[in-house]
Amino acid sequence: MRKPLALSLSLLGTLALAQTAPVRKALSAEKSEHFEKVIRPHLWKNCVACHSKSIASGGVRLDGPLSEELRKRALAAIRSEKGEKNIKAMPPSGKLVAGEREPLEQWLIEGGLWPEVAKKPEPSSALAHWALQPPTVRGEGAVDARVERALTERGLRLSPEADRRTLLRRLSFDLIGLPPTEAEYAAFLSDTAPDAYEKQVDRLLASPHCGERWARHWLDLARYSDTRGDVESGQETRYPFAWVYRDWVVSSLNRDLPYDRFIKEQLAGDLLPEGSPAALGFLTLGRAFYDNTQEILDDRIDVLTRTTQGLSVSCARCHDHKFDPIPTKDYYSLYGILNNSNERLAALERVPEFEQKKARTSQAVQAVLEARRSAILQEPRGQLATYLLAGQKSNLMAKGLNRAILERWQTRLEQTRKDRFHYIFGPWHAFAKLKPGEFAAKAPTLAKRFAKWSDDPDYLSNPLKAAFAGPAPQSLAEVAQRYERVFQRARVMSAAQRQKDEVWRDLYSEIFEDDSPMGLSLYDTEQRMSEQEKSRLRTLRRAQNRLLADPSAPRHAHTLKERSKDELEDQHVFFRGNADAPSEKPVPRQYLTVLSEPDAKPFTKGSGRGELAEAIASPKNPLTARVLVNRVWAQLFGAGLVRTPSDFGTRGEPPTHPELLDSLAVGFMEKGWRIKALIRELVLTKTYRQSSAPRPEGRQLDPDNRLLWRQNPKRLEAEAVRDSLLVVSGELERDARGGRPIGLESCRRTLYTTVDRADVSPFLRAFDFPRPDLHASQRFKTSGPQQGLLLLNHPFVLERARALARQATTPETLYRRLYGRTPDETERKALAQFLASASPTGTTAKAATKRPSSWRYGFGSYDPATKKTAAFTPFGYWTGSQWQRTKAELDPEIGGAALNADGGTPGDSARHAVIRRWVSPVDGVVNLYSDFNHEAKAGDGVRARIVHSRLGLLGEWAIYYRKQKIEREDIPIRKGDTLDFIVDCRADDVEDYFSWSPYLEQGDPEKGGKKWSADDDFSGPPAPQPKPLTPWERLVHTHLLAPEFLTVE
Amino acid sequence: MLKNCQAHRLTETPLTRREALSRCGLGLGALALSALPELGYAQDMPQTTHFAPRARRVLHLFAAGGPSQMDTFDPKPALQRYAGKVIAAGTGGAKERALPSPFMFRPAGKSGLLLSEIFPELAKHADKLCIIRSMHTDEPAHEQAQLFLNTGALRLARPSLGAWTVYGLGSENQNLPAFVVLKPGNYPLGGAANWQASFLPGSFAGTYVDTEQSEIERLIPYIRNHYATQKEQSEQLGLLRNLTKAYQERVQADATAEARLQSAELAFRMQAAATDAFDLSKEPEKVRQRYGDSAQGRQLLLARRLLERGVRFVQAWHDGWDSHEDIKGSLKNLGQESDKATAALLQDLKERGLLDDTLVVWGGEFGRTPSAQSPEGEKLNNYTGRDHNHKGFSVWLAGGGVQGGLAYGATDELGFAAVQNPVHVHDLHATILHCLGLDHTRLTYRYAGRDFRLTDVHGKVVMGVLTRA
Repeated sequence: MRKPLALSLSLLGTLALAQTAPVRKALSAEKSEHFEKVIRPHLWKNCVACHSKSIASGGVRLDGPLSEELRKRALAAIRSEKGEKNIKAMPPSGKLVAGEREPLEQWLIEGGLWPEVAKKPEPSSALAHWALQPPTVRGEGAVDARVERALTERGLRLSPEADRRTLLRRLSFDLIGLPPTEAEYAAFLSDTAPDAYEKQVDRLLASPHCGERWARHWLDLARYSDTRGDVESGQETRYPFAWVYRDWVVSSLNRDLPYDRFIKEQLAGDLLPEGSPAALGFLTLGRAFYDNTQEILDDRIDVLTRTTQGLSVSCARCHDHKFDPIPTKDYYSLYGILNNSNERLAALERVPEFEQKKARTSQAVQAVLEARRSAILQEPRGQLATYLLAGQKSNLMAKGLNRAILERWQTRLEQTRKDRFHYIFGPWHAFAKLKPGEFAAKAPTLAKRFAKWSDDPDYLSNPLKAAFAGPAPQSLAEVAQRYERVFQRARVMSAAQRQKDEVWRDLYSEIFEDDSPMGLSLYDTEQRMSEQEKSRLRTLRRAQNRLLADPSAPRHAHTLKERSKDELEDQHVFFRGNADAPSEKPVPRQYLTVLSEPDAKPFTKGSGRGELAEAIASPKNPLTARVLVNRVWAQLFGAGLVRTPSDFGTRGEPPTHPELLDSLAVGFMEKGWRIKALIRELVLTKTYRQSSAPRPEGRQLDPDNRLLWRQNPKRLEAEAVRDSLLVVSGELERDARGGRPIGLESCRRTLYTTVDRADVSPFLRAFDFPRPDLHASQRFKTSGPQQGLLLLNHPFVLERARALARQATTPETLYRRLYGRTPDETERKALAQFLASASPTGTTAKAATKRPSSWRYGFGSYDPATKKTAAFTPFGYWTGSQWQRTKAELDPEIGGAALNADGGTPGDSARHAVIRRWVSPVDGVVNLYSDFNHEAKAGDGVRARIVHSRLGLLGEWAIYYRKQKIEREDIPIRKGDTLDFIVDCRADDVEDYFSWSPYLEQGDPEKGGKKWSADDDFSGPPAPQPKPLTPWERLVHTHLLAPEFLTVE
Repeated sequence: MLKNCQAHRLTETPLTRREALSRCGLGLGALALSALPELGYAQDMPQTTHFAPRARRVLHLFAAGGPSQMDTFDPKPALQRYAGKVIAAGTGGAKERALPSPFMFRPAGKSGLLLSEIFPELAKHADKLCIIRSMHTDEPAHEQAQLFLNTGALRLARPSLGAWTVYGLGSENQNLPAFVVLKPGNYPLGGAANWQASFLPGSFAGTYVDTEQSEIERLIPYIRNHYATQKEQSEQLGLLRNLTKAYQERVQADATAEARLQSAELAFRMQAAATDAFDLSKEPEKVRQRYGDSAQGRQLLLARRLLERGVRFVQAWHDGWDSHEDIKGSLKNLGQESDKATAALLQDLKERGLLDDTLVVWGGEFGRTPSAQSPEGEKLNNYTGRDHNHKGFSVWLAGGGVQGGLAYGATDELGFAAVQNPVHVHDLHATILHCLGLDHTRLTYRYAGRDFRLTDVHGKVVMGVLTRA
C-alpha cells in the first residue's frame, strides 16, 4: 500500500504541522453560501489549478482551510503587482480580473475561513418525509375497497367492467407485450366459466413472453445498451455480452425470482453463494465516458439509487442534496463501495480451447505494451541516483535524461519536501538542505539521527534506516547512491518475496509502480508509442474483439470483482465534485445515513458491496418495496400511485393513495417479494378491469384521473408497435428467445434487437424509446410526424401489411386477426367505399431505369501463391458518399476500409485490402488508364494491385507519398471476367487514404466505343423498387396506422 | 400560422385536443407538448414566454473547430510589435512566439466596425453585426467544448439549446420538424449529443440533415414511399379518417386517437412540404447565385427556406476552423467558403422582413492563441498555425433584438483572454433565450428530482448587446 501524505502527517501530529495547522473556525451559513457562490469558483479557477493536493506547487495548497501564515502569504501574493520580498505575485498568468480580485481579497482579509464541510442535514423536517417512514398497514380492505373509498369521498365511482375483448387485449399487452391472436380471442370469448378471466391471467403470467415484456421495463431503468457509447475513436464500442445480462433479467422475471434476491444479485451476484455474475450488468453496462472513473461511478450510483430507492443521490456529488437529506459524504461513501471493485469479463462456460485463444490474444497485446514499457524504463531505472539528484536540482534539461521521468521525480520530491518526517524521503530532504560547505560537518549527526529513528516502519522505512547506520555519507551524491541501493534491492526482489514484507512492498510501490517516478502505466506507455506500434496494437485488439464477438464464443458476463483486502480504500470527498480537491480524511464505506440506524457501523466485509445489497433489499428499508410496487402499478394503470416513479424524495409527488401504496408494499414483502403475485393481485381487481371510456363527471371532478374512476387508455410503446406488426402478419418468431442482439429487420421480438447508444434506430426513437445513456423512469408519449412517416413509408411496415393482406383476404378475417371482432356497419361501409374508388394497382411512378453498374465494392485479400484474389466480401453499408463494411468509420474488425468515387482507404491488414471490382459486360479487349496518388507523408504507404480473374496479377506497385501512373492497354476480356483493383495497407495502416479511380474503355468512346469510369459510374445501392401495393394491401396497411391498432383501451 | 397562438401551452384542460389542433394548426413540438398534459406532465410545461420576445426563431451558424479571433473579428495590432518574440500566453504552458495576423482589418459600415479582409461581403453588413469579443469557455478540447456550446454541459447528457428553445416555444409550423440541424458529411465529434433532447421528450431533438446529400430521402429518412403514390396515400388517409371517426364514436376515445390521426396527416403533408422546402431548384437563379454554388451557399439558402417555413431553430455547421497550421491559407479558404453565403443570408433575411425577429448567431466552440504553433518536426520559422484557446474568442449576433454595429467586450492586448466584460458560454445562452422572451432561470424542466436549466446555476443576460425594448 502506498502511504498517502496525510497518513504520515497525522501520525506525527502537531509536531510537523505547527506551521501549517489549519484554522479551526468556520464560516456562518450565510457566509458559506457566499463562499460557494463567489469565492470557491474564483479560488478554483485562479489558484487551485496549481495549489491542490495533486500538484501543490511550491508546497502550497489552497484547496482547504488555510493556516494563518498561508493566509497572509496568499493575501500578499494577490495584492502585489510586481512581487514584494519573498512573495511571488499570483496568479502567475497575470493580474486577477476585476471582479475576481476584490472578493478574494476581502475573503482573505476576513480570515480566509471555510465553510464547515458535510454539514449534517437538518433532521427534523426531512426525516419526517413520508417515504422515509416504514410502510405500515393502515385502514382496511384490499385494493378495490381502498380505491372506491377515495372515489366515494369525491362523489365518484369506478367505471363498469370493460368488455371481454377489450379486457383480453389489455391484459395481453400489459402482461406479455403482445396482442392476443385470433385463436386466443376466440377461446376467451367462448369460455363461459366464471374463472375464465383468471385462467387467462394465469396463462399469460406463465408465458415465457411475460419475462420478455417486464424485462424491458427493467432495462429502461438500468439504461441497458449493447454498446459502450463514448469511447476513443477506433476502440471497441460493443459490449460483446450485454445480452447475457438481458437474458438473465428475462429468465429471472420468468422464474419469478423474489425481488429482494433480484436486487441482491444485480448489486452483488458475484459475492453471493449461487449468485450470477451476469446480473452485475445492471451496474457495468453504462456509458464508457472515455474510461473516466468518476463519471462511470457517478452513473452507477445514479442508476442504483434511482432504480431501487427512488432517490437521486447523484445530486450530492458536488454539494449536499438541496432537498433530500443526503449529504455529500453519503455520496462518497457509496462511491467508495463501488470504487473498490473492478470490471471483469468472466467466462460463464469453460471452453479450454477458447480460453487459450483468448489468453493468447491478450498476451500478445500485453507483450507489445510491456516490451515498450521496459524499453522506456530500462535505462532510467539503472541510473536511479542520477535521476534523484537531477530531480532535486529541478534541472529538467539535464543531458541524456528522460524528461518525463525527471519531471515526475521533481514532482514527487516537491510534494514531500515539507514533510520532514516522510517515511522515505525525510532523510533525503534533510541532507539536501545542507550546504556543500557544511555537509561533511553536519552529515554524521543527521545520519546518526536517522539510524536511530523509531522502529515503527511508518516512521522511517527500515532498510533506509539501515542505510544510514555506519559511516556517514560524504556528499549528497552518496546519499543518492545509498537510496539507489535500497530501491534497487526492492526492484530485483521477486514479487512473491515483496508481497511477504510490507516494508519492501512500500518501497517498491513508492518508486516503481505505475504512477510513481520510475513507473509507467500501460496507458501512458501506449501514449508514447509510435504510430506504427499503435497500429500494430489496434490490429491485435481487433483480433481480441473479434474473438469475443464471434457467435461461437462461449458466454461471458460483464461483471465486477472486489479488490483484494489490502487494496481496499475509503474514498475522500471531492469538494464540488472536483477530484483535485479531496477532503483531508476519507469517508467510511456505509449506506446512506438517512436509511441507516443511528449507530450504524461502516461496512466491514470486503468493499461492502454485499452489505450494501443487503441494506437495500431489506424489509427494513422503507423505500425498496414501495418503489417497486409503484413501478408495477404504473405499468398496469398508466401512471403510478406516486407519479414520479424514480423520485420518492421531498420534491417528488406524494402518493395519491398513501395507505394503498403502503399496504401493497407490506403485502409484497410478506408474500415473499414475488412480482408475479403482485401483478396477479392487481390485474384481478375491479379497478384494473374497469372500462377506460371517459365519463363527464369524472372529467370534471378529476381530470387527471388520479383517483382512478376509469382505466387509463395507453398508447403502444415502440416495442409493442413493432411486435404487434409481426403478430398480426403471423411472422413473429415466438420461440426464438435470448442470445446475441439482432437487427431490426429480423422477425424476432424488439427486445432482442441491438440497442446502440450511439445510434438508436429512427423507428424506435420516433416512438419514444428512451435514450439508453440515462436511467429512464417512464416513457414519453409524444406524437409527431416522424411516427406517421415511419408507419406510412417504412418498408418494414409495408411488408408486414403485405404479409397480412395475403393471409386475411376479407374484412371479416382482417378484423378478427387485428381485433378479435368483425367490422361494424360504419366500418364495412368505409371499407367498401375505399375499395370502390381506390386507384388500381401499379400506378406507382417507375424510377428512370439506369444501366446496371459494372462495378462492385468490397474488401478481401490477394493470394500471392495463386496470384489471384483470394477473398472478396462486398461492403454492406453506404454512407451516402462511400462504401464501408458497417456504419462505423473505423470498423473495429477491419479498420478504416472504405471506397468512394475518387479512391478510398484500405483496411488494417493484407486480409482487409479494399477491392474495387469491375465485372466485364463485354468480350474483347479493354484499355485501362489511371493515376494513383498517395498523399500522406506518414506510415509506409500502400500497395496497389490489378488482378484479372483468369489471367491473375497484371501489375503491382508499392506507393508512398507520390503519384503513380497505372495504365495497361489491350487487356483480353470475356463477359463475366473481373478486374480487381486491390489496395492494401502494407505493414501499417497509418494515413493510408489514396485516390485511384480507374477508367476503362473499349474502342474509342468518341466513335461509339464503350467506357467505364470508376468515378462517373460510382453509386450507392440501387433504390429498392418493390412491387406496388394492391388496393386491398393498401386497405390493410391503413389499418396499421389506425388509432385502434396503436392503442390499448 | 401560430401568430395569435403564442400561449398554446394547453395546460388548462378546457381546451380539447381537437379544438386545439384546429385552432392553432400545431406542429411537431407543440403537438408533442399538447400530448403531454394528459399524461401528467402538465406541471412541467412552461406557461408562456416570460416576457415579450424580440426574436421568434434562431439560426445558429456553427463555425466548428475554434475560429481564430485575431484573424476574424478581434484585431490585435500589438501582435505586430511582438512578432516572433516569445510571449507567455500558450495553453501548453510553454513559451511561444507571437504570430501577427496576416490579414488587414478595415473599418466597415457606418459603425466603422473592424473586420478582417477575409470577409469582404460580410463587411457590407457590418452595421447589422453585434460582435462579442470577450467570449470564454471552460475547456480547450473540441468535443467537450462543442457539447458545452450546444448543451451547456461538458460531459453530462443535457438537452441542447435548440431542444430547450423548442420546449419553451413549441413549433411554428405543421409540416416540418421544429429544430433542424444542417451539416455536410459526418456527425461531429460528440455525435447526435450536440442536438440531443436528453431528458426532454425525444421529438424536441434536432432533426439531423446531411446537406452533402441532395436526395430528399437521404435528407429525411422515410420521407418517400416506394410502394404507393401520393394519390394512393391520400386515398388511404381518407379511409384512416373514416376509421378513426368510427372508432371515436364507438369507444368515446379521447384526444390520443385524434393525435394518432394528426400524426399520419402531418406526415403525409410533410412529404410534400419537406420535398418543397429542401428543393433549392425552386429558388430563382439570381438568388442562388447570390448565395453561391458552394456547400455553405446551398446550406444557408436551405436554412433560409426552413426559417421562412416556420422552423424554430436551425443550426448550420461549417467545419474546418481548426487552424493548427497555415493560418493564412486556411482562413482565406474558410472566408471564401462562407463569406458570400453569410452576407447573402443576412441581406435575404432583411429583404424578407425576417431579420427583425430572427436571431442569427455565428461562432465556434472556442478561439485560438495569439502565439504560433505548427506541426511536429517543423522548424520554428515555419510556425504558421494557432493552438486552441478557451480563454478568449469572438462570436457575433445579428437580427432579433441585438444592437448592430457594436463590438462588445474585449480580450487583452494580444487577444489571449477575455478581460473586459467577459461573456461566458452560459451568459451567451442566457442572452439567446432572453431574446426569445424566455428567462433562463425560469425555463426549467423537472428531472431526477430537480429542476434543470440550460444554464445550470450560471448565466447572466448580456444586457449590453440588446436593443432597448
